Amino acid sequence: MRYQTDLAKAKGHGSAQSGFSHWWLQRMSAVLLLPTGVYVLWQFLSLDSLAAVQLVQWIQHPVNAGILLIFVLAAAYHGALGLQVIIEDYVPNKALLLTLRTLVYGTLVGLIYFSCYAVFKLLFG
Amino acid sequence: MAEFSLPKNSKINKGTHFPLSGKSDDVSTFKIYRWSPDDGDNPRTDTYELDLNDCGPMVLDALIKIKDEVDSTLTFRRSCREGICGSCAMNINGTNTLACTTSIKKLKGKEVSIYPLPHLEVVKDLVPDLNHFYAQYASIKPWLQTDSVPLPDKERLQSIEDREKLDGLYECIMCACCSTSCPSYWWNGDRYLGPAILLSAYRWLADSRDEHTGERLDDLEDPFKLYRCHTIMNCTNTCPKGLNPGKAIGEIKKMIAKRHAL
Repeated sequence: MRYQTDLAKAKGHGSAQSGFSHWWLQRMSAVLLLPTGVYVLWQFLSLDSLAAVQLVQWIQHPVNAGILLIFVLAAAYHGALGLQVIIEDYVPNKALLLTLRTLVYGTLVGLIYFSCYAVFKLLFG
Repeated sequence: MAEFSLPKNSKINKGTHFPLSGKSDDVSTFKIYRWSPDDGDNPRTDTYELDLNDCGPMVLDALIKIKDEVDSTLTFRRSCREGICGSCAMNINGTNTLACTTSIKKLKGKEVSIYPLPHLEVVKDLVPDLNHFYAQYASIKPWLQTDSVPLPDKERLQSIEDREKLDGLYECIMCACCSTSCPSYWWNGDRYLGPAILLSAYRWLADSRDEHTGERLDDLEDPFKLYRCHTIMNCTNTCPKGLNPGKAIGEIKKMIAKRHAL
């Protein structure tokens, strides 16, 4: 039993003075996804085949590599931000929440590393 | 906190059927949620048949008729019976609205389901516990805040254009229909302020006479208090006064964005 007024409960620990950057980056990453996504999809549909050799050739073009990288990074970051919101919304257990959030952002870091590595490797050998 | 199934003591049983005594060519059935803290029983839904030829046109008229003539134990809040006090907010045929402004005839079907506002603790029958909701309202300091002292013989002036900015905001009657229709408020209502409170917060942010805009935005800039709004827009859909809390929340987010040099 904890004696606390309704107002004290409603005020809680006050404002965390954050939330804007998450909201803003979610929108900005979505804006980046739109043109880059359309470009990547259009380019893939224009290729004669999606055979590995042809895809490698496509990625070795610097403009394609750059746009692909922006697309993959924006998609991964946008996804991580979205998953964070879902976890915060639906997971009441704090330990599980922290674990899942760490897992999401760990996966994001992994994705960033491997995407950059793969694209740069194809570009510069 | 997300809950996907009802706790054991909240499972709803079938209740008593109160048939219409006598005959009528215009009968409607009212299926009403009942729960009393006094008997320790699970909630139930009682059904009441009413002759609409002998009943007022609104759902609240039917509830009052049931209480007066059929079952005096039925408990609900009501006061103004004209959509200005917000007391009779409840879930009617799956929509949060005011019983006093909902016409029985305009509802689809001959059966009307009436439940208390969703995801709040029930005090009794159709009466939900709104203490936390009101405390959240108090937490946004819903009054004009100023530091400058006005001359004692002058009022605080506001232009007609600035006054118009409060239209669509000041009309909120705090019935809680919008907040209790919002999934974000269901899952995180302990911390998320919800559409009704945020609309009221914006009412004071939009007021040209208020001098605490910065402090108000400081208080709101929080991942839970404000940013749990995912623009689901149930709030705007359900508002019985036709207001747009979703837009008001968007305006608060825009004001915060402006502070960040955007």
